[in-house]
Amino acid sequence: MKKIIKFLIVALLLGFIFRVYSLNKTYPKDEKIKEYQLNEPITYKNIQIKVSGFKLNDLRGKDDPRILDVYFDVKNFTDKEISLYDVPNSFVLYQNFSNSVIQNTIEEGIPSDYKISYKKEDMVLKAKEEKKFTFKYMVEDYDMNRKNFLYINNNLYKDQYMDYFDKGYLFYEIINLGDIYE
Amino acid sequence: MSKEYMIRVFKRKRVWICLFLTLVINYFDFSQRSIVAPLKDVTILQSAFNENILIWGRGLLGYFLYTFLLFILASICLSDLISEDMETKLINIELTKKKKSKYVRDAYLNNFVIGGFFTLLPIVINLMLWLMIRPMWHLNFINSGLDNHVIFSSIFSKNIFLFYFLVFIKIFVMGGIIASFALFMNTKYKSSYLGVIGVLIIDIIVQYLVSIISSLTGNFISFDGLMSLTTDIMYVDFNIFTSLYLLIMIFIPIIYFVRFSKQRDFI
Repeated sequence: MKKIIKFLIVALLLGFIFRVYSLNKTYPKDEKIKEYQLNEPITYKNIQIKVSGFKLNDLRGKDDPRILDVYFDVKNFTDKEISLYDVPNSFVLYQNFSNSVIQNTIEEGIPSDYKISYKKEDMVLKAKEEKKFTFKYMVEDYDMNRKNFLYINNNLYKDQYMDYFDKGYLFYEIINLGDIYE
Repeated sequence: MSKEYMIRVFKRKRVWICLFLTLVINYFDFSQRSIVAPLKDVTILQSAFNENILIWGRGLLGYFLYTFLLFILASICLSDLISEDMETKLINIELTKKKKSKYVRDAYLNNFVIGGFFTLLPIVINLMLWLMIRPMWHLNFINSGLDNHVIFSSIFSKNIFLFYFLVFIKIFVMGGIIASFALFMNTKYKSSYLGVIGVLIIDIIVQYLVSIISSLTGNFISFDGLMSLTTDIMYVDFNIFTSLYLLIMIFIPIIYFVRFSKQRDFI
């Protein structure tokens, strides 16, 4: 009886190891992160994006999250209309794990808390148009050790992402904001 | 962990209750999730390390069951050790072989380890099952879908195995603390089931009392009982009230057993 139980446990463990090994063979184990700085133009197939600066608004009390304004310049190369609205969560602010999506885009029928806010039609870029946006993000309380960056959604560079995926890498593009509390 | 206690645990029928509860917890964790192959190009990836019962399983039925059943898991196997020995007079034979202080210390330590082991068992089994379904992606700030409130979160992004090792140690130690308190209750009141449910009841009563006090005085007191200290890896506020409560729960059994080992009257 004891031997049978021991044999069963060893067989189960071997099966487990084999299963984990064969499952992980096809998935990437490493990452590649392309890091852009402020004022550095980021060019994709049909648009160009530049983050020209940011400003921290300490609007509320100390315990509440603060608001960070980030200034974007977006340029449309093509002869067609492009809507940023089509890319959900196109730019997300990360502070280590914590993140905030853009706060001042408005869905229909919902009033906005912010002076500058964008409806669906405001997010459309006409042919060859260049537009400036001020997107607002929630920011956590001050912590020096956090890495503050904007993550560009991989929908904007999906081909590149999938290329790297097949090579065994997870590919991300981020804009490093540095110390936002200065 | 001596062999004599191992045999004692695994010969008892109660060990099957632990294995059955482990199965139940894992069944309900998986029954509420879809386990189709993970998507490749989404921002937050489905990994074994973030989809298991501790992180994304929070709030589902399996996790909810675990938060209550862990008290039974920790204390059902060995925590009636001394009271059973006293009832069957086996303790008289034991005490001819070794000193009473050594007997009590062995009982305490073995009960601690067994309690921790069976508290940890469902979590380890759960992680192993998830590893068989989900790949071990390289997780970073972007694709793990966590937030900064996770304890040891700075380690999560650097070494995920170290993170799970630390979390498992935390659960193991908490399970041991629960089992020790159950051993204390069972020994003091000469019962074999009081400790199994008693620690849970005490923990719930203390949590209710703190919330009643904080609502009466109007000051919000952040407090975590043994329940959330064991299972929760997010939002654990280790403040003065929580640590005081934890110290009381650790030292009541220790003080009791030190005094118990000096008593000479029951042979």
